[in-house]
Amino acid sequence: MARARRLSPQALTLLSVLANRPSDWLYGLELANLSGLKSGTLYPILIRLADRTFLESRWLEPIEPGRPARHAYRITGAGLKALQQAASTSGHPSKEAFA
Amino acid sequence: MNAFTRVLFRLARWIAGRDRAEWLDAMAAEAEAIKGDSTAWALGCLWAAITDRAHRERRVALAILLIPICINLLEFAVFFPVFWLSQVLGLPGWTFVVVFILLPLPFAFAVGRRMALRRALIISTLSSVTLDSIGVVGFWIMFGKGPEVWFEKGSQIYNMTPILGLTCSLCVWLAGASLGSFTRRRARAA
Repeated sequence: MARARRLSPQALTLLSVLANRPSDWLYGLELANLSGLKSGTLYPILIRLADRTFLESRWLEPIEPGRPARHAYRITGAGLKALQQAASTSGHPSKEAFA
Repeated sequence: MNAFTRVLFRLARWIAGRDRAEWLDAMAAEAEAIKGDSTAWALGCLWAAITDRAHRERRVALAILLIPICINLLEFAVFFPVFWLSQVLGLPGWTFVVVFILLPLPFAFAVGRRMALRRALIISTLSSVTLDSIGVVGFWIMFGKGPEVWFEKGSQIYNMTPILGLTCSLCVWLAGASLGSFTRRRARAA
């Protein structure tokens, strides 16, 4: 049986930010601003959450011409479920959780 | 992005490896979107690449930390016996230095025996840097003299100027890893 790995408080904060706008695609910079995480913390968490299918990502065409396409992220059903489980386990979604 | 930021992303891309190319593209695209200086963002991305790689390759990261610690312990263990022997046998001072310069050789050889050349060279270089850092920090803690002491006139590492001493030490690591990797290739070919 696969061992359920605990999500860190930062990962839960990020999932909460994504869950607040479940239908929107959010850029890395937006997530950094909304969660208060720096890029050095943000991306390893994004990578792990994507590996666990808690979020999905896609490249969005730039609004301004001549700019590169940007990677955007959105929470998945599995991500929402993990967040709910975290909330029910600890009573606070940004504390401890098991996915 | 300025030239320095581009260098940071190139380094991060190299550290992260091919598996994470898309993620590095994503980080770089965000850096492009920043209006103003993106150096802090790029430094964070470099840190992200390092921690992600270390997380994916925990055994390698552990080796880079543990091998230098083992060598340090070995240095402590052989210091007095080697000193005593060189006094008894009346050996010249440089033999003492040679013993300590060559101590990492079997460790680097063992690293080379276990993996391909490029990987062994990278791990050996990082282990060498870790070992040197332990030396600098140890000196700082024990004698209260910070890293600046190694830039003072007359300071020596392995009885050489610090740059030459550290280069010699690194060469031993690289030679050991190359030799180990070479014998590994030969053993596989046979």
